[in-house]
Amino acid sequence: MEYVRDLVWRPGMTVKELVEGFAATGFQSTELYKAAQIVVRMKREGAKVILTFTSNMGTSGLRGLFAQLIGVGLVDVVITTVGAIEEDVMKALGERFYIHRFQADDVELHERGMNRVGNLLISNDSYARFEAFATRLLEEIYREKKRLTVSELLREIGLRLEDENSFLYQAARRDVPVFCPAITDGSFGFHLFMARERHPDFDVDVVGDFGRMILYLSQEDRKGVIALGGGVSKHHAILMTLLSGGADYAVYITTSTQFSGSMSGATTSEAKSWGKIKDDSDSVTVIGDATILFPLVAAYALEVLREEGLIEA
Amino acid sequence: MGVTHGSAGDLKKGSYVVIDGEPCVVLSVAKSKPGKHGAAKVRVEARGLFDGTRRSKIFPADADVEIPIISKRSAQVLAVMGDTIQLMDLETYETFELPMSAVDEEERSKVESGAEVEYWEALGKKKVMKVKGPS
Repeated sequence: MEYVRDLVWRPGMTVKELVEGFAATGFQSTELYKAAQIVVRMKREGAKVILTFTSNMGTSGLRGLFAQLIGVGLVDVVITTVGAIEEDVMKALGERFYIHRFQADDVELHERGMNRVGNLLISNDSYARFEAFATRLLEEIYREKKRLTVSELLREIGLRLEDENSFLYQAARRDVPVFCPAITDGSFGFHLFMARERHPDFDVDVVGDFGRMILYLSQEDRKGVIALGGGVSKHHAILMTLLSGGADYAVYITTSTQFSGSMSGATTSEAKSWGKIKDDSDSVTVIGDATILFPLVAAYALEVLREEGLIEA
Repeated sequence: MGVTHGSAGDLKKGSYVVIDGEPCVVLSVAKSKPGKHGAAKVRVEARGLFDGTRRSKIFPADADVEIPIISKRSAQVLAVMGDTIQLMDLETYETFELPMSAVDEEERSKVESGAEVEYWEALGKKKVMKVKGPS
């Protein structure tokens, strides 16, 4: 049986060495090590990888890492919520999100037109410029195509961006579909609605995309899910695998706990009872903030996979 | 007959605006400040001048809106023929027919041959708004 070993720093220690040290450290660090190992095995064993994350992670600097993972060929499908789409585009347009603090005067921030996301701030002006861009873009897309699925729309957007740190940009260039079932759940929803008001025949099809989503990997032998945070994105990822018997690999990183029965807190084990993760799957749930945990997992996996020549980095 | 242009942010109760091709009178306006949805928005509740249908619409506050040019004119009822009335414009002497449904509901019972009426014309449609009594 494995036993606990003490973690000590060594000069010039790499992230890979640190994560290897986590294996025998205990508690969440051991789970994090398992997560990093599972991500490596997903790729090594030829699984198609679904990466899901919530909107706030697109606000954070993790967005660049997501783009990179797509760019090197580690990710085959992305599922997210619309805030991440908006913020990916806003950053590609040069908008800056400011670093503030968790304990803030929120009433004063509101008066200043600043929207707090944890300890980050997004100004109303950024949203207004995003609206102007989205409105022009939707007019342009409407002229070419009056009806398209959400993932087709997101590909069209990605093709029009010029930013290597944009996940929409990388996904569009590598033909990685980005699914966003809750496409109206944010400011982009307003802009889509206004476009519909101008053009009643403009249709962004969610149900059509659901069809594409559940069939997309249904013929694949192995499927892996990396779910950062919970909600719609995470649930759609495992829903995607349901018709073909569930996911073979699953890594969840979340701050939610399972005790309210919420989807966001449901563990990989709970998903087995739904048939969405296989009984004998390689899976782990790590509890903690993805902005700390996921870069460690990703850096470890990228390092190992690069040494093995399994990614384009 | 046509429209002029204005800004959605300038609409107020009682203004006229074209919504879905129909000239409407604005019943109420609510404004949303700039926020996470983007720039300021205007929510307009309006009623069709000719079809009476209520319409709700959201505009960006700086959006261009069409304002119908409404011509308010007088005419005389020449004849009432079942559900149709025949009228003569008192300025141009042009005669035309309108269905009874194009007379304001509350005024309909007062329509009789020889009566003078006020009718409105906008975007090629006409409606009798008031019956002034026999002239």
